[in-house]
Amino acid sequence: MNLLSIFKRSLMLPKKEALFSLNRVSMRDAMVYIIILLFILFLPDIVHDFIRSSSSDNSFLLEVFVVRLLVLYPLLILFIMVSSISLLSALIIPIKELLKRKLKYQQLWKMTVFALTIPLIIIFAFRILQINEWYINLLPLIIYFVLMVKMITVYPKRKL
Amino acid sequence: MAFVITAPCKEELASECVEVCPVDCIEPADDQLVIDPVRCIDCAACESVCPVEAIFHEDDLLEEDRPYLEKAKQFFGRA
Repeated sequence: MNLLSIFKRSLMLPKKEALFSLNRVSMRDAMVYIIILLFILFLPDIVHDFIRSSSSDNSFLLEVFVVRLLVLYPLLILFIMVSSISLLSALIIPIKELLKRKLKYQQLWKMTVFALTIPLIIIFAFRILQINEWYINLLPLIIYFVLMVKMITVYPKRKL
Repeated sequence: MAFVITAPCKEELASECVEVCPVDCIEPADDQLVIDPVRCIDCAACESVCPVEAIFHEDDLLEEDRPYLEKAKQFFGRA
Protein backbone atom coordinates (compact mmCIF):
# COMPACT_ATOMS: atom_id res chain seq x y z
CA MET A 1 0.00 0.00 0.00
CA ASN A 2 1.49 3.36 -0.95
CA LEU A 3 1.78 6.31 1.40
CA LEU A 4 -1.04 8.26 -0.25
CA SER A 5 -3.43 5.33 0.21
CA ILE A 6 -2.36 5.05 3.84
CA PHE A 7 -3.05 8.77 4.28
CA LYS A 8 -6.49 8.54 2.65
CA ARG A 9 -7.46 5.51 4.74
CA SER A 10 -6.17 7.18 7.91
CA LEU A 11 -8.54 10.07 7.24
CA MET A 12 -11.38 7.54 6.99
CA LEU A 13 -10.75 6.14 10.48
CA PRO A 14 -12.49 4.79 12.57
CA LYS A 15 -14.38 3.07 9.72
CA LYS A 16 -13.98 -0.69 9.85
CA GLU A 17 -12.85 -0.99 6.21
CA ALA A 18 -10.16 1.64 6.71
CA LEU A 19 -8.96 0.08 9.97
CA PHE A 20 -8.75 -3.43 8.57
CA SER A 21 -6.98 -2.34 5.41
CA LEU A 22 -4.48 -0.35 7.48
CA ASN A 23 -3.80 -3.51 9.48
CA ARG A 24 -2.21 -4.88 6.33
CA VAL A 25 0.46 -2.16 6.41
CA SER A 26 3.76 -3.39 7.80
CA MET A 27 5.33 -1.75 10.85
CA ARG A 28 8.16 -0.43 8.65
CA ASP A 29 5.74 1.29 6.27
CA ALA A 30 3.80 2.70 9.22
CA MET A 31 7.00 4.27 10.56
CA VAL A 32 7.96 5.67 7.15
CA TYR A 33 4.45 7.10 6.85
CA ILE A 34 4.50 8.94 10.17
CA ILE A 35 8.05 10.25 9.60
CA ILE A 36 7.07 11.68 6.20
CA LEU A 37 3.82 13.11 7.60
CA LEU A 38 5.71 14.82 10.43
CA PHE A 39 8.35 16.08 8.01
CA ILE A 40 5.69 17.61 5.74
CA LEU A 41 3.88 19.18 8.66
CA PHE A 42 7.14 20.64 10.05
CA LEU A 43 8.25 21.82 6.61
CA PRO A 44 6.94 25.39 7.03
CA ASP A 45 9.06 25.72 10.18
CA ILE A 46 12.11 24.45 8.33
CA VAL A 47 11.52 26.81 5.40
CA HIS A 48 10.99 29.69 7.82
CA ASP A 49 14.29 28.87 9.58
CA PHE A 50 16.06 28.55 6.26
CA ILE A 51 14.84 31.96 5.05
CA ARG A 52 15.92 33.53 8.33
CA SER A 53 19.34 31.90 8.18
CA SER A 54 20.00 32.62 4.51
CA SER A 55 18.91 36.25 4.74
CA SER A 56 21.56 36.84 7.35
CA ASP A 57 25.04 37.90 6.24
CA ASN A 58 26.54 35.56 8.74
CA SER A 59 27.59 32.36 6.91
CA PHE A 60 28.05 30.66 10.26
CA LEU A 61 24.28 30.83 10.83
CA LEU A 62 23.66 29.09 7.51
CA GLU A 63 26.12 26.33 8.38
CA VAL A 64 24.44 25.84 11.74
CA PHE A 65 21.10 25.64 9.97
CA VAL A 66 22.35 22.99 7.53
CA VAL A 67 23.65 20.89 10.44
CA ARG A 68 20.30 21.30 12.19
CA LEU A 69 18.38 20.36 9.06
CA LEU A 70 20.44 17.30 8.20
CA VAL A 71 21.24 15.93 11.67
CA LEU A 72 19.32 17.52 14.48
CA TYR A 73 15.84 17.78 12.95
CA PRO A 74 15.59 14.17 11.67
CA LEU A 75 16.92 12.76 14.95
CA LEU A 76 14.71 15.03 17.02
CA ILE A 77 11.61 14.21 14.96
CA LEU A 78 12.41 10.50 15.21
CA PHE A 79 12.90 10.66 18.98
CA ILE A 80 9.76 12.72 19.60
CA MET A 81 7.76 10.50 17.26
CA VAL A 82 8.79 7.15 18.78
CA SER A 83 8.46 8.30 22.38
CA SER A 84 5.12 10.08 21.86
CA ILE A 85 3.55 7.18 19.97
CA SER A 86 4.83 4.69 22.55
CA LEU A 87 3.43 6.79 25.40
CA LEU A 88 0.06 7.34 23.70
CA SER A 89 -0.21 3.62 22.92
CA ALA A 90 0.60 2.77 26.52
CA LEU A 91 -2.17 5.12 27.69
CA ILE A 92 -4.62 3.15 25.55
CA ILE A 93 -3.80 -0.20 27.24
CA PRO A 94 -6.15 0.36 30.24
CA ILE A 95 -8.90 1.49 27.85
CA LYS A 96 -8.68 -1.66 25.73
CA GLU A 97 -8.65 -3.75 28.92
CA LEU A 98 -11.74 -1.92 30.07
CA LEU A 99 -13.37 -2.55 26.71
CA LYS A 100 -12.33 -6.22 26.94
CA ARG A 101 -10.52 -6.37 23.58
CA LYS A 102 -7.60 -8.62 22.76
CA LEU A 103 -5.12 -6.25 21.17
CA LYS A 104 -1.35 -6.44 21.55
CA TYR A 105 0.77 -3.38 22.27
CA GLN A 106 2.30 -3.57 18.78
CA GLN A 107 -1.20 -3.38 17.27
CA LEU A 108 -2.06 -0.39 19.44
CA TRP A 109 1.23 1.23 18.40
CA LYS A 110 0.38 0.90 14.73
CA MET A 111 -3.22 2.01 15.28
CA THR A 112 -1.86 5.08 17.10
CA VAL A 113 0.32 5.98 14.10
CA PHE A 114 -2.70 6.09 11.81
CA ALA A 115 -5.05 7.63 14.38
CA LEU A 116 -2.61 10.53 14.78
CA THR A 117 -3.08 11.70 11.19
CA ILE A 118 -6.14 13.87 11.87
CA PRO A 119 -4.85 15.28 15.20
CA LEU A 120 -1.51 16.17 13.55
CA ILE A 121 -3.28 18.00 10.73
CA ILE A 122 -5.32 19.91 13.34
CA ILE A 123 -2.13 20.79 15.25
CA PHE A 124 -0.63 22.02 11.99
CA ALA A 125 -3.75 24.13 11.30
CA PHE A 126 -3.58 25.63 14.80
CA ARG A 127 0.07 26.58 14.19
CA ILE A 128 -0.79 28.22 10.87
CA LEU A 129 -3.70 30.10 12.47
CA GLN A 130 -1.49 30.91 15.49
CA ILE A 131 -3.95 29.50 17.98
CA ASN A 132 -2.07 29.05 21.23
CA GLU A 133 -4.73 28.64 23.93
CA TRP A 134 -3.93 25.50 25.91
CA TYR A 135 -7.53 24.30 26.14
CA ILE A 136 -7.97 24.46 22.35
CA ASN A 137 -4.70 22.58 21.95
CA LEU A 138 -6.23 19.72 23.93
CA LEU A 139 -8.64 19.12 21.05
CA PRO A 140 -6.23 16.98 18.96
CA LEU A 141 -5.55 14.79 22.01
CA ILE A 142 -9.27 14.36 22.66
CA ILE A 143 -9.83 13.49 19.00
CA TYR A 144 -7.03 10.92 19.21
CA PHE A 145 -8.59 9.20 22.24
CA VAL A 146 -12.08 9.22 20.71
CA LEU A 147 -10.71 7.75 17.47
CA MET A 148 -8.79 5.06 19.34
CA VAL A 149 -11.81 4.06 21.44
CA LYS A 150 -13.94 3.81 18.29
CA MET A 151 -11.23 1.82 16.51
CA ILE A 152 -10.85 -0.57 19.44
CA THR A 153 -14.59 -1.17 19.59
CA VAL A 154 -14.56 -2.26 15.93
CA TYR A 155 -13.00 -5.50 17.21
CA PRO A 156 -15.32 -7.97 18.91
CA LYS A 157 -15.16 -8.46 22.66
CA ARG A 158 -12.74 -11.06 24.00
CA LYS A 159 -14.41 -14.33 24.89
CA LEU A 160 -13.79 -15.37 28.48
CA MET B 1 -14.15 -14.31 3.24
CA ALA B 2 -11.13 -14.99 5.39
CA PHE B 3 -7.37 -15.08 5.53
CA VAL B 4 -5.54 -18.28 4.68
CA ILE B 5 -2.19 -19.60 5.90
CA THR B 6 -0.14 -21.15 3.10
CA ALA B 7 2.98 -23.26 2.53
CA PRO B 8 5.71 -21.02 4.04
CA CYS B 9 4.17 -21.65 7.47
CA LYS B 10 4.94 -25.37 7.24
CA GLU B 11 7.49 -26.33 9.87
CA GLU B 12 7.98 -22.61 10.63
CA LEU B 13 5.02 -22.22 13.01
CA ALA B 14 6.25 -18.82 14.15
CA SER B 15 2.89 -18.17 15.87
CA GLU B 16 3.06 -14.37 15.87
CA CYS B 17 -0.33 -14.50 14.14
CA VAL B 18 -1.81 -16.50 17.01
CA GLU B 19 -0.75 -13.81 19.48
CA VAL B 20 -2.22 -10.89 17.52
CA CYS B 21 -5.47 -12.51 16.36
CA PRO B 22 -8.20 -10.57 18.24
CA VAL B 23 -10.72 -13.42 17.94
CA ASP B 24 -8.35 -16.35 18.59
CA CYS B 25 -9.28 -18.10 15.36
CA ILE B 26 -5.80 -19.46 14.53
CA GLU B 27 -4.87 -22.92 15.72
CA PRO B 28 -2.07 -25.39 15.04
CA ALA B 29 -2.94 -28.21 12.64
CA ASP B 30 -0.57 -31.06 11.71
CA ASP B 31 2.44 -29.22 10.34
CA GLN B 32 1.22 -25.62 10.12
CA LEU B 33 -1.19 -23.09 11.59
CA VAL B 34 -4.70 -22.72 10.19
CA ILE B 35 -7.30 -19.97 10.32
CA ASP B 36 -10.94 -20.74 11.02
CA PRO B 37 -12.65 -19.21 7.96
CA VAL B 38 -15.91 -18.69 9.85
CA ARG B 39 -14.52 -17.04 12.99
CA CYS B 40 -12.01 -14.88 11.05
CA ILE B 41 -13.22 -11.25 11.00
CA ASP B 42 -10.91 -10.22 8.12
CA CYS B 43 -9.03 -7.72 10.28
CA ALA B 44 -5.67 -8.59 8.65
CA ALA B 45 -3.77 -8.29 11.91
CA CYS B 46 -2.12 -11.65 11.23
CA GLU B 47 -0.98 -10.79 7.72
CA SER B 48 1.45 -8.02 8.61
CA VAL B 49 3.09 -9.87 11.50
CA CYS B 50 3.80 -13.15 9.68
CA PRO B 51 7.62 -13.38 9.40
CA VAL B 52 7.47 -15.74 6.42
CA GLU B 53 4.65 -13.94 4.56
CA ALA B 54 2.51 -17.05 4.52
CA ILE B 55 -0.85 -15.35 5.11
CA PHE B 56 -3.03 -14.15 2.24
CA HIS B 57 -6.58 -12.98 1.87
CA GLU B 58 -8.87 -15.54 0.28
CA ASP B 59 -9.37 -13.20 -2.69
CA ASP B 60 -5.63 -12.93 -3.30
CA LEU B 61 -4.92 -16.66 -3.12
CA LEU B 62 -2.98 -18.26 -5.95
CA GLU B 63 -4.63 -21.30 -7.52
CA GLU B 64 -1.88 -23.52 -6.09
CA ASP B 65 -2.68 -22.24 -2.57
CA ARG B 66 -6.42 -23.03 -2.77
CA PRO B 67 -5.93 -26.43 -1.06
CA TYR B 68 -4.81 -24.59 2.10
CA LEU B 69 -8.23 -22.97 2.33
CA GLU B 70 -9.87 -26.37 1.97
CA LYS B 71 -7.49 -27.76 4.57
CA ALA B 72 -8.51 -25.02 7.03
CA LYS B 73 -12.21 -25.62 6.34
CA GLN B 74 -11.78 -29.35 6.92
CA PHE B 75 -9.76 -28.82 10.09
CA PHE B 76 -12.50 -26.72 11.65
CA GLY B 77 -15.29 -28.88 10.18
CA ARG B 78 -16.55 -26.07 7.96
CA ALA B 79 -16.38 -28.00 4.69
